[in-house]
Amino acid sequence: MATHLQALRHAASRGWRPVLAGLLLSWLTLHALPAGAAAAQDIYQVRIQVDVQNTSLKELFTIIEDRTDFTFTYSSRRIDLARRLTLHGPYQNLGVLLEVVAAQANLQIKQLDEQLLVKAAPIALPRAARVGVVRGRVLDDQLKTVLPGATVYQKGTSNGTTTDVNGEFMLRVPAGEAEVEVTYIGYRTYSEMVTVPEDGAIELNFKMVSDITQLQFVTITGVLQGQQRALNQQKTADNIRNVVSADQIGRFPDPNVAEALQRVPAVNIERDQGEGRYVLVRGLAPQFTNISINGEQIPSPEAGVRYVALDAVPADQLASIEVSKAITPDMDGDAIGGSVNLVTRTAQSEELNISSSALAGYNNISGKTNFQGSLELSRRFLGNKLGVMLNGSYYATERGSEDWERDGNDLELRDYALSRTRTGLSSTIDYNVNEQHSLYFRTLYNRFTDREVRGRYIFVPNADDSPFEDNAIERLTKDRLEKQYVVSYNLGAKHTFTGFNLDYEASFSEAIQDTPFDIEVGSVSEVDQLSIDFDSDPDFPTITLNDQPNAQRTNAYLDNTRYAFDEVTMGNTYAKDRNKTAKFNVGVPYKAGESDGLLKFGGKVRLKEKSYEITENVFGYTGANDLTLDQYSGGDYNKKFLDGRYNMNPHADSEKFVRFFNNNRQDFELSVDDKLATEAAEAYTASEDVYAGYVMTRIQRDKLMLLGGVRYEYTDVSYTSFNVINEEEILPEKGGRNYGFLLPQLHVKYKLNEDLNLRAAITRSYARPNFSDIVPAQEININEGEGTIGNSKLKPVSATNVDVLAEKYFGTVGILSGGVFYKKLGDFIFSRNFDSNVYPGSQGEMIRLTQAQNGESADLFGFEVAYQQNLTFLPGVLKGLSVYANYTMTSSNARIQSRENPEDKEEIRLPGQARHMGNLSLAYALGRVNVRLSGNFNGEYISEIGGDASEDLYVKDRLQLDATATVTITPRIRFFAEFLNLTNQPFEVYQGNESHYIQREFYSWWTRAGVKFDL
Amino acid sequence: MKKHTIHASLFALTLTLIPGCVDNSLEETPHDDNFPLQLVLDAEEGADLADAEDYDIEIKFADYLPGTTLPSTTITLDYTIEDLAGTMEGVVAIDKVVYEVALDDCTYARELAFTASADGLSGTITIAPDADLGTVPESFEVVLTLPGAEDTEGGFTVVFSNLKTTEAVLLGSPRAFEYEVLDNDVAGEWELEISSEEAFEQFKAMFGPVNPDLEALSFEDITGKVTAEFEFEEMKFVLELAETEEVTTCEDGESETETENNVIEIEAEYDAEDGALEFEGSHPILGDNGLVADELDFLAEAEYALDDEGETLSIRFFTLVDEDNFAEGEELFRDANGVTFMFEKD
Repeated sequence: MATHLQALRHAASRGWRPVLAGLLLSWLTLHALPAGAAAAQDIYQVRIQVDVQNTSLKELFTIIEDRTDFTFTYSSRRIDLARRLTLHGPYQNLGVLLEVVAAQANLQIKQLDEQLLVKAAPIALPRAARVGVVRGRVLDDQLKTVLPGATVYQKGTSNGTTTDVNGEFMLRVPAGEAEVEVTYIGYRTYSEMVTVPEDGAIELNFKMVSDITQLQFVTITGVLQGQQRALNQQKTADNIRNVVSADQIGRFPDPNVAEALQRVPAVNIERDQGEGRYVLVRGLAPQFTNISINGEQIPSPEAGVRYVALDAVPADQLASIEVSKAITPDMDGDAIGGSVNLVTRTAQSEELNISSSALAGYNNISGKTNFQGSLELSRRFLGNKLGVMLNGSYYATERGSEDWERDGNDLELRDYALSRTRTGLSSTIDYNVNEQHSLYFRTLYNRFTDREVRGRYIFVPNADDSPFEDNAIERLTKDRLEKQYVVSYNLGAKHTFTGFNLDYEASFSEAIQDTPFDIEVGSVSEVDQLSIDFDSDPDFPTITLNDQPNAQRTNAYLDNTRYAFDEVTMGNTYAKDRNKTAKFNVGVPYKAGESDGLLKFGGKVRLKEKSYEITENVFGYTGANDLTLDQYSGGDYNKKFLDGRYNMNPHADSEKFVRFFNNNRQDFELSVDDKLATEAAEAYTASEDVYAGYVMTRIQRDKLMLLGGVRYEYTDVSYTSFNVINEEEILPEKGGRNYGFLLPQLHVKYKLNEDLNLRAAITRSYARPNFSDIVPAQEININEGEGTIGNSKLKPVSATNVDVLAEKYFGTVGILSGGVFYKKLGDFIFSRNFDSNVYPGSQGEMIRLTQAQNGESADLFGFEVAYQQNLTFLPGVLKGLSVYANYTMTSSNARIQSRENPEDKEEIRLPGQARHMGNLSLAYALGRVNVRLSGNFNGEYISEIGGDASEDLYVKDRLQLDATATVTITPRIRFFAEFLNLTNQPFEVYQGNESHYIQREFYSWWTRAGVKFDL
Repeated sequence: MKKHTIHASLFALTLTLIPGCVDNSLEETPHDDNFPLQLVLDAEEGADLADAEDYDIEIKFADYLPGTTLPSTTITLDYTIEDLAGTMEGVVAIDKVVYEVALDDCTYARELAFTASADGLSGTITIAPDADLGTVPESFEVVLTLPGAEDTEGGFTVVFSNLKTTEAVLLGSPRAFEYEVLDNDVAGEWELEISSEEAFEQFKAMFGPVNPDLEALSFEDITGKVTAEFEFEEMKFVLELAETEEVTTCEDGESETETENNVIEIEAEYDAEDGALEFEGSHPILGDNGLVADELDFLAEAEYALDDEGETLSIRFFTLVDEDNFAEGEELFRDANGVTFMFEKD
């Protein structure tokens, strides 16, 4: 390793020399060959034949000097005389020969009489007349599918590029003949001689042949292709990045984007009702990760936050998911944990391509089936110029969960029934005007609906035997529909001009969360005796009510006639987040000595508008007749709750209750003060304008790639909201601030050999605060001496990130990688309590305020290892085994105001940071059958910081086991079956210590089976 | 195979297109986005002493949203008097319907018109806009005539119905009011004379923990007069202070200024039965800033006894607890033998 590092350092030092030299010489006028000769013979008149193999430049000069009258003049400090060249004649004359030498060695050679003046070529645009463009796509020869992440090089040089997600590339090479070489993990290296027109372009498709000699035991399937694509993109990426290709998603039974991401090293997820929803990268809370579609940030449909619930996005819509763990200057800077980019699909072939799937499944708790279907049509028209891709998918599931929760001495049983649908529609229309200019228009529409019916029993024992309280049982039934929409339109173009590339895009995106109804009906009953035992069986507490155990069917709590109506809450909310964005990027390729470079700069404007409206009406009943739960209960309920440990009876039926409410409107009285205070305290509007610009350069010298640059982002934010004083007085409030961040980024990639990369990055990034923290809404209760206030002056969290990673790729489609990362967070945001008499409506009174504030710094350190390989080197039938494994360990400490003594400091773990997380997946492929068992482990993490350490809430570690079986009829037709959460792993939360559970939620298992076609 | 694949694709397409039909919405949505004004009774039951000559039932517009204006057109409301029992029959009827208007720091009592049947047991109240307000009054009182005799017994129910209006007003609940004669042992007004500092300290020890103003007093600050007023389910102790102030009242255009002693009131709900007396109320908790930070319920337990003539009420207090201080040893007041106060009929 030490030798490698030394080589790396040496290469870095060598690599920069020509760059600097080139910069110094860039003022020189580019003198074309041949230069005018005076008395001496014109070099184009001198016939010469030179045929050398791997000969140094110095030796070549000597050969030419020996055979002609010319003498070379140069500075040995500026010319790399050791550079080795291969020249195969025939050449017409010395002039042509020197042109080839100059091109290969990146030199300028000028004739002055009999002197040949040699200089290193300056960093400058390649002369238009001497440069051409090779562009095209790299395809699988057998399946005709595109291969993203392929390396496309001009052979014998460091001039290269990689294919994008659509398998497309654009490579500038000197005009004339050039040999282009393409490499791709799992495929044979391919090379082809091409003739590149001067100042023009040629379009070529390179067809790669799978290296089946190493994989003969395994049928090439879409799954394997997925691994290949992902690993190739990862390998050729400039930054530290993980890629999940669409086909790869099919390896695991992950229905949505969040769950697909949990398989990526150093990524864990927060779940909602057993389904993945939010993504945490490298142990940082969701707001530290940037989520974008096709490189453009998605607005969040949820009020108060910026992060996006990824369960709203069906995985079927995507070509790939890219997780960048270290950002580059051309990426948005507000991504401390990482940046997740969802890439949609594009038409690839002139043949009509139809991909579809149809699935059905079963959920054990709900006892109901789920359905999923998708259809994608794509085709290129007009001689491959026009591409049209249409994609639609739909998923409907009926789920449930069984949950008990503890709050002090109270026990709550929660019976959830959910109906969820996911609809995804997307399209891409792209038009290649010619080889140098193309346009695209992308649309995306996602709709996620979530109807949730939650029946709750809350057992409230009079544990203190207070004369003011009774033993009570509350019954609350919530019925709400939440609809989330994400819509985006992207219109852009890419141009290849002589000497530079230009791309630009205008986009509009909007995210909405519409909750048209949210109803909770409350009823209450009192009983003589009620006690709860949390200790005898901490996993499942027992209830004794009127001296009967909870399992007894005759228990009084099951009698709905005992529950009197308490109150009903009805409301709706509407959150909207809208982005209007315009951006451009300019790339200028250049040569610096023997190095190929790209200078890139660009700008971006993003205008955001976010708002939240809420209606909340709480009604009490004033009717003369008794109103009890049995009069408005009905519908489905869980008849075997937690394996029959607890019994239930029908919950309130919201439809039935609403009919009663509408027919007896005069018997329900609105709580006016509560309505006004709640609605004013939560509603807000905000605008956030971001202006960004960057400049960066990427330079490749032999095995070393350096990418460095700087980005500046300026943000101007303003808000309107309300202050609610003493739950009565409502005052309008305005606020805002602006800030700028200068973000230098440096990435180094050193290719030790064809299969081994070393990477390092030092980057700066930041994370904007959640809107719920910065909107200056205030809720003050002067009498109670406390209040919660927003903080419009809150600064974003800033971070310096250091990453070092080594990755070894296997020809049998695999990788072993390992690395360490460190993040230093500044202005960490935490909830602070302090006394103040300066706040709206203060009247000079000192009260205790709670406000999100910038605190001290926080450190996060971790390492990750990942291994995946098809074990084809094993003997016999064991060849079919494959392993996918990764493990990440993180450690953090954040310094905050002490919760014991406000004057002191305290160190805590960062909320959301799990110490251990990982995946282990074993698969076996036998012919056309592939079976896989996958385990995903999320270590415990703090989900909420309490008033003191004993009140901190921890999400307990969780290991979920899933199984998948796939039968590949042909590479284009697959049957598969998936079984999820085989061991019924619960979601568990404890408070303070592990023996004090406050929540255990079970989802049981669910399954899907179906067929996928690619026609 | 190709045919099957096409069929499967069509199936997938169908699945893709059906979401527009599946919305998971409620079949019937709540009508909670309109807020009609509700005219409601202030209470659904009440009582007074047997010799009471009249009784007021308050009717008001329930909480309404800011910006909402009261109706400016006439509303009519029907009523019936039902279930007359005991000596109520033939006597009970509406005497008048009154409301108050505050104008220029002066209160004016005005009446609403009503019509009654010959027996007085049914009729219609006309709630007309007040000329000064421009709207109907926010509340009004229906004054009922009662027998007014010492031996009055029984009760009755007044039911309001058939609200007619052109505006968005509903007759809310409750819509019926039940009246009965107040007949518990302690009902009425009683007076206690605190004549010694020791007696005052006893009174303060008992009630001071639930009244910060009382806690701050000394014997010199009071006149010694304490009244206990027991009404329907509610009572209050009124402690007269030595300190006086001039109180100016203005009714129907006539202003009057009187010098009155300040008082401290301790209110509670009570339950008196078989010699046991229980008080339940709430008391303020002051924060460090001297403002009311919270309110806690309190509970006082006592015994009562009347002399043979019913002229003297003796109340013996044993405990006083609140929500935060109820465990044994933590009570706000506790005396196993009790502290006794003697009240005379007022």
